This record gives sequence, C-alpha cells and structure tokens, in this order.
Amino acid sequence: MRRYLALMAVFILVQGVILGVLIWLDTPSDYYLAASVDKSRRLDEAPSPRVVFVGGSSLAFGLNSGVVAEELDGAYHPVNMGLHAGMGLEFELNMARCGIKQGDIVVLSPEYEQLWSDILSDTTVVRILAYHPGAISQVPSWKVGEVLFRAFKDGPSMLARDLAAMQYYGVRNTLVDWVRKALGRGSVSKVGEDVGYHRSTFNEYGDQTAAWEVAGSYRPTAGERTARSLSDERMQNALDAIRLFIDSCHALGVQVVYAYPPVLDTEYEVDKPAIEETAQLLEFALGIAFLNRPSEEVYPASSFYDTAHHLAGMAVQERSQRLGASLAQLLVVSTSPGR
Amino acid sequence: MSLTSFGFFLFFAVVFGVYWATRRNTVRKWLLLAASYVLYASIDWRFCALLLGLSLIGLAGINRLSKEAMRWHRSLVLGIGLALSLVALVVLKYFDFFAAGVAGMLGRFGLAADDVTLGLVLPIGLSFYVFRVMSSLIDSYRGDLPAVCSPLDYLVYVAFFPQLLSGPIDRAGNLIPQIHTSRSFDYALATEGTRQVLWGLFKKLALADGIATHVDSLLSPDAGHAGPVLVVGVVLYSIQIYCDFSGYTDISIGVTKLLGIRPMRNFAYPYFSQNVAEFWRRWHISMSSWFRDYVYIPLGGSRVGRPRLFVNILITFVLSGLWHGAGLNFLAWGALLGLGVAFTSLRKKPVLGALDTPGGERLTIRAFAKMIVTFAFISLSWVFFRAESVSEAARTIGRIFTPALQAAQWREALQSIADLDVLVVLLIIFIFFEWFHRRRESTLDLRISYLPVRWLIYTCVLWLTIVMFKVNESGMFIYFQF
Repeated sequence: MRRYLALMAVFILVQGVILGVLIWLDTPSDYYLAASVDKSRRLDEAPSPRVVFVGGSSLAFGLNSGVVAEELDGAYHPVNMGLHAGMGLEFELNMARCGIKQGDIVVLSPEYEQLWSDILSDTTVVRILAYHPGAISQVPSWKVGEVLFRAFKDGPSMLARDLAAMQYYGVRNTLVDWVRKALGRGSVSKVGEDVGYHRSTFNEYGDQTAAWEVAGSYRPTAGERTARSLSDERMQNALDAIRLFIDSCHALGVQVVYAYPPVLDTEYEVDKPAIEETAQLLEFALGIAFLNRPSEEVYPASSFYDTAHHLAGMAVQERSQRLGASLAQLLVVSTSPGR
Repeated sequence: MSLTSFGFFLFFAVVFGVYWATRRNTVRKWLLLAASYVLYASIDWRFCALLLGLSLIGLAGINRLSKEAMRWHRSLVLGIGLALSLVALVVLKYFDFFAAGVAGMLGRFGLAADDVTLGLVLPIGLSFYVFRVMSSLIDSYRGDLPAVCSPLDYLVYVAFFPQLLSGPIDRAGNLIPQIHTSRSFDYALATEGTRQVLWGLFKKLALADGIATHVDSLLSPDAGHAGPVLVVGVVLYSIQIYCDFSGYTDISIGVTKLLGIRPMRNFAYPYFSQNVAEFWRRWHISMSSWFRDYVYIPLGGSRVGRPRLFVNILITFVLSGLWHGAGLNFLAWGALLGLGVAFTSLRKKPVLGALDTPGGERLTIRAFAKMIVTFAFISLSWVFFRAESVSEAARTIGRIFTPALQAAQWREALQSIADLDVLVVLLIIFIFFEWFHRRRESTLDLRISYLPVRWLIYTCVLWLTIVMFKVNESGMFIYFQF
C-alpha cells in the first residue's frame, strides 16, 4: 500500500510540475480577456490628451483607432477600452473612470444589450480578474460577492479550460500550418478557429485587428425573431450610471460624447422601435453630443465577422473614418503637434 | 454522481482511504454498503427503497433455496423470486411501451383505447441490479452458490457501487466470495486498476464525448445528409458507443480492482471480431453471457436442431434488445443481431470457450476482410439502436444505400472527417494502440520494463484526456455572444 501511495504521489507531483511549467510559459495570457491588462496600462500611460473609447467587443472589433487619430490630425491619442459586453456597463465605466485625465475626451459606445438588461456575466468578470486581479476594485459593488463566489466555485475549472484550449489550438494550428505549407497553401487563421480570440491580435491602441483583413462571414440564424423591448428599470439604472460617469468626467475636465454601436440590418428592422426609443431617452437624459444616429450604424451581414456585433474588413475602416470625422467636427483641434 | 465526475473521485478517495485503513472485513463491508447507498441516494433517494427491496427479495430467495430440498418447492421459490424481480423491471421500464403498443393495436381494429401510461421515472441502474438478483437466484437454484450466504455479503453484492449504475452484471459466484474474504492490499491489482481507470477516462472523456457532437450533426434526421456523410456518421457512432460504454466500464472495473476485488471482464476488443457471433462474445460480456446462461442455454442452446437453434438465438437476441430499451427500434436491433448470429451459427456451431486473440495471432487479408464486414454489419445495426423509431432507422439506412452520384456529396463526407480535427489523429492512434495490445486484458497494460517510458505514456494519455475533456466542454463559443 505504501509503495502504491508513494508512486501515485510522485506521479501526481510530476503532473503538477508539468502544469506549473505550462502556466509559467504564460500561454493563457494570450487569452482574449487578458487584454484587459493592456488596455488599463494604455489608459494609464498614453500621453495626454487622449480620446478614450468605452464599450464592449463591438468597439474592440469595430474601431480602427489609427484612422480616428488621422482624422484628428494626431491631436488626440486613441485608447480603445472596448473588450466584452459581458463585463456590464458599470464595470466598463468604472475601468475608464480610473484612468481618465484632464483634457481627455471619452466616447461612450456600449451595445444596446448593455442598456436593455444587466448582462454582466460572472464568468466573464472572473476570467478578466484571473488575468487582471487589480480590476476587482472596478467591479460594481453589488456584484463583488457573486463574482467572488463564482471565482471560488468555477475559477479553477474555467482557467483549466482556457489553458487546455490554448494548448489544443496551439498544437492544432501548428500542425495544420505545417500541412498547409507543405501543400503550398497559406497559414491557417488563428481567429475564429479557437475559443475566443487572442490578446496578441490587439494593436497598440487596443483595437482587435483580427477581422480587419478578412471578409465578413457572419450568417444570421434563420427564422423569425421577436422584437426586443426596453426594461424601464434597467434603462433607468443605465442612464443613472452614465449620468454619474459624465458628472465625474466633467468634474475632472473631461468631455464626454456618445456614439451608437453597429447593428445588423435585419435586427435593426425588428428592433427599430426599441432602438429609437433608447436613442430618444439617451439624447434627452444625458445632455451630451452624439457623433452619429442609430440609422447610420446599420450594416448588412456581409460586414460582420462572426457575430452581429463584430464588424470586419472595410466596414471597420469606413465606420472609423465617419466617427473620426464627426469627432473632429465637434472638437476644436489645434494644428500644433503634440497637443 | 457519474463515475467520470470530480465529485465521484473525491467520494472514492475517501472510501478508498477508509477501506484500506481498516483491517476488519466486516467494517469494510459496511463501508461498501453505505457508500453504495449514499451514491444511489445522491441520484434519487427514493430509488434506495427499491434497491433494498429487491436485494431483500433476492436474499430471502437464495436463503430459502438453500433450505428447500423438494424440487417443486425450489421451483416455486425461484419462480416467485424471479417474478417479483421482473415485476419491478416490467412496470417501471416497459409498462408505457406495452400499453402504447396495445392501444395502437386496438386502434387498428377500430377499437378505441385510452392511452394509459404511468409516466414513471425509470430508476438508473434498474436493469443491472434486477439481473444481478435474478442471476443469483438462478445460480442458487442450480446449486452454483454457497449454501449459506451472509446477508451483508449479498446486500453489498447487489448494491456494489462501482457496478451499480452501468454494470458490469457481475455474478454472485464471482463477487460474493471475494466480498466475504478478507483481503490485503494487492499492489499489482491496484496498479492494474489505476491504469484501467485512466484508459477508461481517455476513451470516455477524450474520444466518446469529442465524437458525440459530430455524430449528432451528421446523423440528425433533419439534416438530410447523403449516403457518404451518413456512413461517416454511422462509423463514428460505432466508435462513440464503444468508447463511451467500454470507457465507463473500464472506470468501474478499475475502481473495483482498487478495492482489491477482481470483477468479470466486460469488453474484449469487440470490433476486431471476424463474425457477429464472436462480436457478441466480446461486447458487453456480462450481459451477453447472462442471456446465454439464463435464456439461450435453458431454451436448449445449440444442442437442438437447426430450426430450433435459429428460434433460440432470435428469442435470446430480441429479449436482449428489449433489455436495452423499451422501444420497437431496440427490438428490431436485437432481431437484426440475432439474424447475424444465427447466420454465423448455422454455418458453424457456436464456441463457448475462452476467447482467442481478436483478429487472429497474425493478421491476414481474409481475417481483415471478415473484420471489416463484421464491423459494417454491426455499425448498420447501431442505426436502429440510436434512432428514435424503426422508420427513422429505415430511412437512414435507405439513404446510406442510395447511390451518391454527385461529387459534392463525397466532398461533404471528406469535410465531415476533416471537421473532426485533431480527433482523427487521436482515433487512428487509439485504434492502432488497441490492435497492438489486443492480447492483453487491459490496453494500457504496457509490457515496458523502463518506468520513465511507461510514465511518459501514462502522462500523455492523462494530458490528452484533460485537454480534450476541457475542449469538448460546452460553452467554448457561448462565451462570445457579443
């Protein structure tokens, strides 16, 4: 019995060493949500003045900050904080509030879903905290308990899954690349063939560049969809959170503007009443400038990458150009360099 | 609590520790009994009463049989015991099926019949422990069991937790003496069991679960796939069901060995069989041998003329089909296999002895061709097993045999294989691994004397299992809904 237990203990120890090596190799830090660390660092370190974009993954995928910077003649340094709508509106606002400085401009561009319901996902937040523990202070206070419970209960399993997926797709993509190269074909695209996306495909501004060079391939699900409607209570909570954010920005000398997110044309047709009502409420309640109208952000399925929120290819560039031009019109941009 | 769940492994770690910490066999038996009922109660506490009730029926039966001398008394006791055991099985598993069948038949004759169903919950593992009770009664009647059986030994035997939910249907004559005898820790048996658990986890979590989602999409009736794609789906399903069931059984057997008990073997590389009869000597051995010993042989077995032999085989396999599920598709599946076994047996009398090396000692072209034909037949029979109805199975088989004249249909089939991704490589390695270890009872029984090499292989199997299990877990793309 002792011999058996001793051998089992040694075997388990060996597996533990292997696991430690895998974690030490830092493979999981290429995980998409680990980019939260980079975005916060960018927000802290980017030279002032900055234009800070706040929203979910539609902003991460749907913005080319370099194009925006060009439209602003380099007067503002872009920071794209967009990551994942599952963070919830309040968490996103708190993350931005921590790093903004006097002279910055904030462009709010949350997904409509973040205004219509509380979509903060414990799973998403736990994953972010696994790679960015310091962000715990920005989690809305009423969610901290739930998030910590979820972290304790499911955290190790989730991290194991991420680690396993990275190993699997890392090996798999390498093998497929070898085969494809041997057959004279190009390398396989990393994005869309693995779980989530990669931290390494965010650029220096925080834009997710994975879909810039590809054509949109989103296929909407067949069948009728029922129109979505506003929850008065949630809408009011969202408006309160945004107003609080705007007030704290103004106190710091930071200007806030709003940009509506991209939406799929077929979904716009169905949800138009809710979208227009949302727009009316926002424009009435917030008292800030709006860079676009909801109807200007309607795109066909061929403009989206893999979901009805992630723009791809030329649609990203065109949208960024329009937003940059709108922003430039709103601002008085000095032509002197380095401002 | 599934045998593949983390909760079960924590549970077993505690049982294992306490089991071997005590030297008193009586304490170990009470521990096994308590663990069995705790495990069963974790699924549904109401089932424990049924399990206990059936165990007591069996215990009372075998104790009565050991005292009765007159033959008709013994037959009466046996009959009552079997009837009471079967009542539970028939009512809980088959009542709704037969009631619907009767109502349907009456309807065909223009007679209105209310669709009377009980809608009862089928207790998990019922088929397995009812058959354990029945086999113990019959063995006792035949004089194959010890005259006196300790109640505790018997209760542990019926409820034995590693085998309670999904078998094997071990025999009282094998398990009860081992439960009764005090054992000391057997290092060789424990390592054998550990290897078997590891291989079982690999088959179940890495292979079976990975294949499952592909099979569901390939064999979905609504998808309307052409023959070549369906062939891929059927072949994958054959592998899935083998890896799923034999994997789970390996875990059960491995856990049993870790408790110092050697259970009966349940799978012996069935897909390397060269005919259907051999397949049924290698697949779910505990069940097939149960039907052989308690249905086929009492009917006369092979000691009868050919027409009667044919009937005996068909009856046996139809009943075994129904044992698997209450549905016409299971009946059809059993009948189809019965026809396959009958065809084989009519050409050559069945062999009931020890199993030869599957595929023969040396692989010949003839043996390989026989294996392929047998595998194809078995795979087609699985279509009935998997389908919701006989008509659905017939439609699937019809489409398989419809000539695929368009190149696109064949390209789709190739794409469906490519979609398996890394699984294709794993499956090829797995098949070769099983083939080259087919002479051993356990595939991971590596005859490599150098420990680091053995551990390297075990480590690879373990990490492949973990990675594939996590990758197969749902929610990988659910994460990106926005």
